[in-house]
Amino acid sequence: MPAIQTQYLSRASASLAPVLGTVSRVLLAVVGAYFFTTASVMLAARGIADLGLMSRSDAVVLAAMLGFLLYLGLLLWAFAERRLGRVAIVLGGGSLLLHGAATLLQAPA
Amino acid sequence: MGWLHTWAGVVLGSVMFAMFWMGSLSVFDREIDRWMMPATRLAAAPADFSLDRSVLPIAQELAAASPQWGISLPTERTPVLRLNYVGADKQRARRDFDPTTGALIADQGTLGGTGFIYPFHYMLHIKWRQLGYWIVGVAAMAMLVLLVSGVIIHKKIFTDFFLFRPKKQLQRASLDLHNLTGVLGLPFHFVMVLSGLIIFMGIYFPTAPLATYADTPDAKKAFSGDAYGRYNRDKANQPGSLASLDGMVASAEQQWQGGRPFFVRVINPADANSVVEVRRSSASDIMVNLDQIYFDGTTGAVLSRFEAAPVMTVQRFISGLHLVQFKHWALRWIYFVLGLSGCVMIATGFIFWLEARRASHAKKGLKGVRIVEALTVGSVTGIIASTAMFFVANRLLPLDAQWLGYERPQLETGAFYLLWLASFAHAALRPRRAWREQTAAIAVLAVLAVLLDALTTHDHLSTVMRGQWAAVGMDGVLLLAAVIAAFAGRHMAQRKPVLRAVRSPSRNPELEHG
Repeated sequence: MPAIQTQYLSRASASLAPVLGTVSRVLLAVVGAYFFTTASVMLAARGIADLGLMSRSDAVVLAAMLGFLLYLGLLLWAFAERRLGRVAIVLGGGSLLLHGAATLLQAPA
Repeated sequence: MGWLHTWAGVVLGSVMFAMFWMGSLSVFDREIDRWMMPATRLAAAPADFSLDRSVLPIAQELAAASPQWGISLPTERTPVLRLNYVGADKQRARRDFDPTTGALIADQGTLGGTGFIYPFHYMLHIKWRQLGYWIVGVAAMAMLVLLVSGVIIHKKIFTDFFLFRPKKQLQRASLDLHNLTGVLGLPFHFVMVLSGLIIFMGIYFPTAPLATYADTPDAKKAFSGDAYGRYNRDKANQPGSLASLDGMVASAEQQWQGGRPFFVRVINPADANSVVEVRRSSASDIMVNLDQIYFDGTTGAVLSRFEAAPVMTVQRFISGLHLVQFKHWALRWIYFVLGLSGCVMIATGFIFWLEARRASHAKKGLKGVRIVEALTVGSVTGIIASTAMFFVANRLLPLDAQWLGYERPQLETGAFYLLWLASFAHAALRPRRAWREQTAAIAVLAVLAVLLDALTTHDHLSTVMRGQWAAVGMDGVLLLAAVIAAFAGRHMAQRKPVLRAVRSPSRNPELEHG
């Protein structure tokens, strides 16, 4: 009986693991990379504006336009990177850190 | 990258096809308007057209109670005067006038190309929480991923480009056509999808200005004022009368060094602090400019002038590449054809997926092919037939049509949506015949639309004589579409392996086992 159970479990996990892997990869790519991008856009816009390179509305526009290319690059990378753990750390952890920084900057001075 | 390309395509291909189809038609949205609104098939406006004489009396009569009114000036593609205002019932109203006679044009009871087909292209008419924009945005990002991964899949991209085997079986031919349209259109498709996203950067990156404009009470509003221009001043609550609008337009043209206005708005027209906003036409540039000049309505003095900042000018150029507002008929046709090549790329991608799996799915008893095929047929031939139905309904319904509380524009779009839903059901119920029957439906509906146009707009030949090419061109494209649909239907019908085996069993013995 235990033997059958293990066999059943291992078969279930064998068929479930790649599905879970794919689902989390797609979620990390689509959602994680999006939030990574929005935070990067906020920070980049503020950075460019603070450097005084251009007017602040132009800084926002430049960062937002480049944001689409960043998102595309992150999406492709999330699917091309073999190690799912690395994708999770960079996109999950990275977007949390970046959003933390962006939130700090949003506090009125 | 192979599985990513396959599955992103299969899952989002339906939305992408709708976007490409409606986008290709939107290239000619105003010409579709002329066809669907026969009373607006007017001769070009006279050169000595005067706002003071032609527009002001109409506006003062209709929009007397309105806090502001705007007038879109007649152009080659839209030869009517369009007045926007808030009516006595507090509802936004829109009226079209003949710029030559000043006569009111009866409401044509349709959303037309600019009101239905064009917004469908970028927001699918799903207004709830901007969901339509987001679905389109996701599909657009997926399209960029598909284009890049598609190039990576085809390491032999150059030789693949010259490979086309139309006489081979459908699977080969559709793959070749997928590669051909994919590679040939790649630069166009990439630029179009990316520029489409960039146009709506404010929707897709709503948080972008938050850190930069942290010191303002409303960061998004402050950013949009800086980037897109905005001017306003409080009412004086004293009566005032308007100076010459023609004078302000002439002043604007002088400041723009010959640039023409396309839109004039009067804010608080009867107040001493009235403001007249003049916006510049983009007909002679690729860029869709943001140039605007605000005049003191009572004196005609310039209050404020706006032009986009350098990076925003780049954004407007990229937007202009997508929006094709410039006057160039040859380029307009090229946009149309390249857009349709995107439709072919998506449709053949679907067909290749289906044909590559048909035999193995049948053997294993999987339903995937049947489900995706029904989805594909409805998304490809279904939406095309429904669009033709939209045009047919436009010519069949009388101007005062009303049914079950629905106004005429809703009846037209209702015909579109009902036939579209029916096309998915039809494809699910009759999988073997759906392609052929729906292409036949496209051919019949397209011809019917042309016949109805000739019957219901009596001056058909005389519009040709007057050089009203919009409606004539639309009829021509509809007839061409009917021919292509009939041809494609015949080609698709020949794909059945049973038929092929019966026809030439001795020459193709391997097919009997396939």
